[in-house]
Amino acid sequence: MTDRLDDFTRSQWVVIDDEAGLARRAPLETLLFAIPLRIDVGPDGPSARRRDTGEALPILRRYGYVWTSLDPQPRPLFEIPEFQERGRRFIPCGPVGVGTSALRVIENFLDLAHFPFVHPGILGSEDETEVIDYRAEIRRDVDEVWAVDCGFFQPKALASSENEVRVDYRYRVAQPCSAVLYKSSPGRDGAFDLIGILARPVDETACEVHAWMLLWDDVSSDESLLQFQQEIFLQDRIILENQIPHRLPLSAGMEIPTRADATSVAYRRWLKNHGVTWGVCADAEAERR
Amino acid sequence: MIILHDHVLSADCYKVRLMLAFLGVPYERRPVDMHPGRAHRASAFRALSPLGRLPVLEDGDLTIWEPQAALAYIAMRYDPFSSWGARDASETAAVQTWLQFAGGPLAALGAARAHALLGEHCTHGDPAEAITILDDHLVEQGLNGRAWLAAARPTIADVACFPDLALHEDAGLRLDVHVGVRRWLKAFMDLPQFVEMPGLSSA
Repeated sequence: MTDRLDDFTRSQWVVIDDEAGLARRAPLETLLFAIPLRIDVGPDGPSARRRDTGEALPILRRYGYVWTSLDPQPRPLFEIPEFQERGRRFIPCGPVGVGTSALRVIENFLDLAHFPFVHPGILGSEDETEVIDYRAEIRRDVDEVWAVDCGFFQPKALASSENEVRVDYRYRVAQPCSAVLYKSSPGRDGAFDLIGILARPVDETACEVHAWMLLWDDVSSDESLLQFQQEIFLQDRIILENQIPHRLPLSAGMEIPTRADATSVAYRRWLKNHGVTWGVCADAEAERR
Repeated sequence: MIILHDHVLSADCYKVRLMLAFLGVPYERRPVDMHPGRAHRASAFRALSPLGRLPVLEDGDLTIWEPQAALAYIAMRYDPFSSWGARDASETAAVQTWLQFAGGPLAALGAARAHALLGEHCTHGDPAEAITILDDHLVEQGLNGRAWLAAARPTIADVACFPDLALHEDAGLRLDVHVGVRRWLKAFMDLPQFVEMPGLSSA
C-alpha cells in the first residue's frame, strides 16, 4: 500500500502524540502510512523506529507534540508564532481514532457550512445558516492554503462564551494533514484563539486525530475546555465515518462544490498540485463513480 | 444539589444524564479529564470511585459510583410515581436482569467503542452475542405488545442499555439486521425530555 505514498506527504513531519500522552502510552506500537512503528521514551527523550526494517526515524519535539517522519530529512515544520505568546493556555485534547482518510478530516475541519447542521446550538444555529462571504487562497510564499474574512453567528463559540456572537475566522492548512483555525477570542478583544488539528494517517482510510487549543481564557477549567472540544469532534466523527468514499476525491465533478466550499476546493487543488496520492481517490476510482 | 462527575464521551455517564433529564432533576456537572488525562484512574478520584470509573453521583452524604445503581437510586428518590422503577416482583426480576446485562455482557460493546475511539487496548469479548440476545428479547416483547425491555413502559433497564447500543457506530458496528434494537432505539429517542450526546446514530 505504501507505493501510493507520494513524496510530498512522505517528506512531512507527522504527529505521534502530545508529550504527556506519549509518556502515558510509551512504548507505543502504532502505524504511520501503514508502516509499523515503535516509539519509546527513554531518559534522552522519545525515539522512533520502523518495526519492519528497524530503521531509526527522526524525532521533533515542538508545539507540545512529538513528531516523526519517514523521510530522514523532512521539510521544515510550519511556524505558529502564537506559541511564543505568554499568557495563552495550551490544551492538547488527546487522540481520537477516525475510520476515514486523514485528508477527509482536514477537509471537514475547514468546512464552515456544516456548523449549523452538525453542531446546532454550539457552533451554528439552524436559523442562521448563511456563511458570510470569504476568500480562500493558496499562499505561494509559505505554500499553505488560507481562508480569510470568514464570519459566522454562533450560539456558543467557545466553552467560555455565553451569548450569540459574530465570530471571525481564519483557516490555514499548513500541511496535508494539519490545519489551524484562528477564531476571535471571547477572552481578549482583537485577539485570536487558535484551534488546531493534527492527523496521523494510520493507513489510507484510518487516522488518529489530535486536536489542540491555544487560548486566551483564564475562566474555564481544563476539563470543561477539553470536553467542549471533544463533544464537537465526536459530532464530526460520526459524519466523517459515514461519508463515502473514505478517500478524498480530487477530480472535479465528483462532489459538487458550493460557494461555502471554496476552502475545500482550494485545499483539493493544492493537494493535486503537490501530486498527493495518499488518502485520495485514484482517477480510475473517480471515473467509476 | 446533585453533583455528577461526568465525561461528555462516556456512555455510562450518559445513562445518568438521561435519567436526570427524564425526571427533570437539576444537577451540577463536574467534568473529569478522563481523556486524555485519565484523571478517573488517579488516586484522588479513587477516593470517590474505588474502581476508578465514571460516573460518580453525589447526593448529600451519598456517593454512588456504579451507573446502574445510580439509575435505581434516582428513579426511587426522584420519581414519586415510580414509573421508571419496578412496580412488582416480576418487574423487579426483569428490570434487574437488564440492569445486570448492561453492566455485564453489554460492556463488550462499550469496550469495542473505547478501542475504536480512544485507542484503548482492552480485551473484550465479541459484542455480537449481547446485541443478538437483546434484539431477540425486544422482538419477543414486541410480539407481546410491549415496546420496552422490562415492561410495557420505559424503565431504568432501558436507560441502562440504551447508550452502548445507540453509540454502536462509534465502535464501527452496524445494526441493520437488528430490527428490534433499531425500533427500540428510535422509540427511546422519541421520549419526552430525551437528551442527545455526540456519536448517536439516527437509528
